[in-house]
Parts: sequence; C-alpha cells; structure tokens
Amino acid sequence: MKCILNIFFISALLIQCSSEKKEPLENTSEEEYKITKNARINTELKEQRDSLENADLTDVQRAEIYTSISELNSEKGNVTEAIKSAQEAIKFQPNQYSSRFLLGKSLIEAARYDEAIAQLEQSGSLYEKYAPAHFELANAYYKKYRYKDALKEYQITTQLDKGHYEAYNNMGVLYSLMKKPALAEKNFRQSVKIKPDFAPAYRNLGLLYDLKLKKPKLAILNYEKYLEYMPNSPQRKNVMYWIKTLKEN
Amino acid sequence: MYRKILSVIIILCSVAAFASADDKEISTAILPIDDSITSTGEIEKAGSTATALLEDAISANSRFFVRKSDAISEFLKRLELLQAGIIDDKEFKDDSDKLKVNCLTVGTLSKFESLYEIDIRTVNIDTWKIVHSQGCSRQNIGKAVEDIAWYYDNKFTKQYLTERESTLIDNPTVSVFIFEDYDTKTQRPGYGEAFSEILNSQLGSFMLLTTVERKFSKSLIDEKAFQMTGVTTNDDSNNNFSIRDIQYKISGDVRIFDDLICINYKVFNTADGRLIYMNSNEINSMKGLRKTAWEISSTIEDVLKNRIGTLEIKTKPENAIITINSAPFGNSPQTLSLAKGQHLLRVSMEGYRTHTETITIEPQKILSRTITLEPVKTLQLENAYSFEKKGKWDEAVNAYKEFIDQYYDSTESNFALYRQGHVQLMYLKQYDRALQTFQTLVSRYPETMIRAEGYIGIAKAQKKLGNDAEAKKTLDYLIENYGETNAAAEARKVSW
Repeated sequence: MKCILNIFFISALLIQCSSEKKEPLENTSEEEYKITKNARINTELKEQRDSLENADLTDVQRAEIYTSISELNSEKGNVTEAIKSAQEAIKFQPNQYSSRFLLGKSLIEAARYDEAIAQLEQSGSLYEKYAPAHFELANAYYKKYRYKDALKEYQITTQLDKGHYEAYNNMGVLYSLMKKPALAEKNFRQSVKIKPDFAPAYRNLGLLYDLKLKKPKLAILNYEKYLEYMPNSPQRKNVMYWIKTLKEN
Repeated sequence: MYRKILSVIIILCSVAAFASADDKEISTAILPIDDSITSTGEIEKAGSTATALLEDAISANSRFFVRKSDAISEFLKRLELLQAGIIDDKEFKDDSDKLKVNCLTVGTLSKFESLYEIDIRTVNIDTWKIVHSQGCSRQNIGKAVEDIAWYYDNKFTKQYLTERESTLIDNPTVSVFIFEDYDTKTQRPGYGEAFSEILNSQLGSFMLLTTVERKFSKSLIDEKAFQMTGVTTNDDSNNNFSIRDIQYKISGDVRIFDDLICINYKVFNTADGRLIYMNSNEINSMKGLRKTAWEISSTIEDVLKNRIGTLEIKTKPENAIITINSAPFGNSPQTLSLAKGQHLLRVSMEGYRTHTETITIEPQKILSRTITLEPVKTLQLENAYSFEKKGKWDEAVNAYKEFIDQYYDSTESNFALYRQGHVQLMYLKQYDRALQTFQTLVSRYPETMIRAEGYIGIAKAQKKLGNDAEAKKTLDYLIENYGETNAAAEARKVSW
C-alpha cells in the first residue's frame, strides 16, 4: 500500500514539474545578431552615400559613386538597392558600360529578363570587350530559353576571357540540353581543367556520364570528385545515393 | 482489500496496454531526423540520437500513438526513392496510406560549431502540409528535444490539430524551395540548406499561412538536372508546385562575409513565375539565423495576406511601355503583383500621348485596366516646323511650346524642345531662353543622339552669354561621354 502511494505521489510530482512553462529558445541577445554598421561593406556603402552630399560633384562623379554603391549592393545580394543605384548612375552618365552591366545583372536577379537583356546589350555595345557583360547577357538569354543566343554569348565570353570556367560549365549544360553530349563533355572538362576544384562541373560530368553517355564508372568517379570538393553540399545525400545505385547495378 | 486494489490496477494496466491506436487522439509516424545537412552533425549521428529521444518523449504522452521508425522501414525506403527523384509523388501516395496514421513527423538537424539547429514538423500525411512545427537552437541535443517535446505535450492536442487543418485550405500556400550558398568558393556551404529548413519550420508555425513541407516539395523537382553557375537553373519547380496548389515559392541565398551575413529572399508566384516580393536581412552571427527566419516568415505572411494585390493591364495598341512609380515593368499586356496602396501608372509609346494615372491596389484583389492610347497629333508638330522653314521664328517657338504643353510626356516633345531651343539660339538670339530650353531637354534624359545635341546647344548658349569656362566644360563633357555622336564630332571642331 505504501509502495503504491509512493508511486502515486511521485507521479503527481513529475506531472506538476513537466507542466511548468518553459522558455524553449535559448535567449539570443539583440547585439549578437543585429546588423553591424561597422561591417566592412556597410562602412564602404556609407562612405559612398555620404560623398553624394557634396554639391560640387559633376555628373560623371555622381555616376561613378552610384556605380560603386550599386556594386556593393550587388555584392551583398540586395537587388532592389543595386537596381536603384545603377539606374541613378545611368541618369547621370547614360554611356557608362559598367552601370548598365550592373543594372542588367541585377535585373536578372529580379527576374526581369527582357529589361536585363536590353541593358546588357547596351553595355556590350558601349564596350565590346567586357567579358562579364557577355556572360550575364548569356545568362539572361538562358533564362528566356534562348539557348542559341546564350551559347553565342558564352562563346564570346570565353574568347575574351579564356579562364572563365563558369561560362564553360554553362555551355556544357546548354549542349546537354541541345542533345550534344560530346560537346557538353568537352566543355565540362575544360571547366575543371581551368579550375580543378570546381565542384558543380564534376556533378554535371557525373550526370552526363550517368544519364547520357552511359558510362557508370566515369559517372561514379565524377560524383565522388564532387563530394570531395563540396563535402557539405546540400545535395550530398542525393549524390551519395546515386553512387550507391550505380555501384549496385 | 489490498489484493482487490492490486487486481484493479493490474486490470486497468492491461486494458491500457492493449488499447488500439484508435483510442489515442493523434497517431503519427516519426521519420528519422535528417542530419545530412552538415557533415559535423552527420558524423556524430546526431539525427539518430535526436530521433530516439523524440520518439521516447512523444510516446510517453498518452495522447499520441507513435509508429516508430523500425516499423516503417519500407515506407522510409520508398521516401528515399521519392526524394532522390527515382519515383514520383503519385507512386508514393499508396505508401502513405498503408501507414495508417493521421500525420508524419519529420525533422532536420544541422550543427554549426557547438550549436545544434533542430527543427521538427508534423505534417498531414496526404498533403504534406505542416500542421505543427517547432524549432530550437541549443548546445545540447537532449535539451533541444525536451524543449520541442514540451510543445507537443502542452500545445498539440486533437482540437488544435482539427482547428489547424481547417485553416489550411483557405490560406495562401507556400513552400521553401532553396537558399543557395552564394559563394561556393568559400567551401562553407550548408548554411543555405540549414536556413531553408529553419525558415520551413518558422513558416509552418504561422497560422495564416499554409506551408508545404520541404521534404515533399523538394522531391517535386528533378534532382538530376544539370546545374548552371552564375544564374539559377531553369527548372520545373513553378509548374510542379502550381499544379499541386503550392501558390508561392520562396528562394534566396545566404552570403557570408567575414563580419556580416546577408540573407536575401524572394517570393515567386508559381502560376506565372513572377517575382512578387524580395528583401534582404543582415545578421552578424549564425546565432541570429532562427530569429531572422522568424522575421522573414512574419514579413512573408504579411505580404501574402495583407500587402499584395494584382494589376492586369492591357493597352490598345499593345506593346506599350509600362512604368509604375518610375520603375519599368516591361511592355503591355502585363499581369503584375503590386504592393497595396496607390501607385503612379505611366503607359507610353512612341507616336502616342503618354497616359498617366494613379491606381489603387487592394490586397488579394485584381484590378483590371484596359487603356486606349491617344495618337499624338503630329500635324501640330509639322505646322511648327513649317513656321520654322518659312522663317517665322516667333510663330515657330509658340507652336513648339503649345505642342510641348499638350504632349509633354511624349518622345516627340524631345524633338520639339530641341527645335525650340535651336530657333531661340540661332535666330531669335534669346540665349538665356535657349539655355533654359536645352537644359530642360537634357534633364528629360532623352535618347543619346538628341541628348548630345542638347549639350551642344547648351555650350553654344553659354558661349553667347559670355560663360566661356562653362561652355568649354560642357563641350569636354560632351566629347567624353557622347564621343560617337555627330554633336561630339562638331564639338571637336570648335575652336573657341
């Protein structure tokens, strides 16, 4: 009887403890995650914005400052601000290729592809040898499913910048989509030749050998390279599964 | 007496032990918590530890019937195939039915330095819509699971589940697609995927949104697609989401600097792929991820419930330039998601009078506008030009002014301004008025050739007014920035 009562009272006590309200989240102080105004990039932004206060600035100088602001916002990924500042730069200096390039690039990120194409084409006409503009124009064409135009621009990019491994990778993707696996392979290989630790190209090579060229050993080899160079990739689990499936078959 | 009490207790215990799942309020299957997001979490098999603790914690509550992971091994194998893109969701549906539970409990675990980020979601087994979610950031897995289990014990009742499921149908439906680690060169990926999971959980806890679990929505995408770099890969996510009534897709990126972390996010309408909202948050520590996810979720809920309406705009003729609040929005016809409130709509097309109006967008409503553009009466402009040809300078200037007043926003007014300035400068010798006219022209940012001509007009007027230094400065600017225009060629020949 005493045993049963003890069990009863202990149980009642445990129930009482568990129903006390808990603060589940570890308290994180405001200072730990607030925006830091002293971050390098924010400091630079502030300096640039403050310099606009100077009333003696010429159009050219204003345009250059706005271009710098756009570049910094683009680096942060703040697309809205990058677009705004690039548009301001263009108002003061319409024939500046770099501001049109930044605007075009940001418009791609805002999914405004037609406008991006217009700006990037203009940037290219202002300075033909600017490889980044051709690369971004290719990207914009790609987003509009204009693969032939995209391919042409990627080719120009690699002619102007032979080390542009991303352009080679993207050409490889396009050739895969256009059912030209040999050319796809050539371009993916060129990409990793330029940058031996460029993981996305290894994944693409793995897929090419796996799905198109039916060379499972090469597929496994390239998937493993991908995992080697991107050990924390969010796609790791899938790629490991693909390797396992290929080995079992 | 004691024997009777003991007998009653034994009988009651026996009945409880043989009680079927139907007597429990909520039946769920707990899937193994996914710790593959970060290699540190995976190496120490933190997911298994957390799963075992969670199973014990929830099972201890008499309100729940829990089918444990070892009883659902076949289902798990099939789920793996679904998530790897080997089978599709239609093939998978039967597997869910066989489990004979109301809902599934899924979870993810990431580890950054010494901090575990654990998120547990319970989803409707048929639709994968989140009915309950809870996340936690802790340095101890046991404490984290304890905190999460507290919510299951104290909040997750049958009544709560019924109420929650009743709201799922009418809410805007979202799913978190992907957050890229923007700079793959840093070799610090994993933050993007971890943030995706945290955001998934936070959104799932908001009552005015319906969130489809990522473990399901990710499986709708072809995982074996070739990957572009420097641009998001074209995929079938919009279509696949839309046909399954996932109306909005959230994606973004995480950019890590030495002293700053930028989280940029975008909300897309899956029906037409249009970007309807984007924004950025900044933190300076990984410890701020969860709080930022909450802030972003709150914003998204507000945007989708309270802030966004639709404008459908058509014009006659088509292909007119649409500008809203001075920002370009492409060419007509267009269907646009806009923030609620008033907007300045401008529709322009060469040869037509620019149409301007203020529109009011109401949240979750569609405003349809069909605008018929009025052709510019170029006869008026031709008359002004014929005055000029006849040497009737005052009549020409007045006619140009009249045209500009009537059609100020049209591109033809740029030409009218130029001609007006030219007459004022060359024939009427009204240099200060000419300067003003050309400056007005340049301030409108017309196309390059006219703008360059405007600058040479300014330089000439400045010279005539005796401002030689300003005139030279204008010519230098013209040559530097409009070097390939006729005006620049003329400027190079100037020998003032």
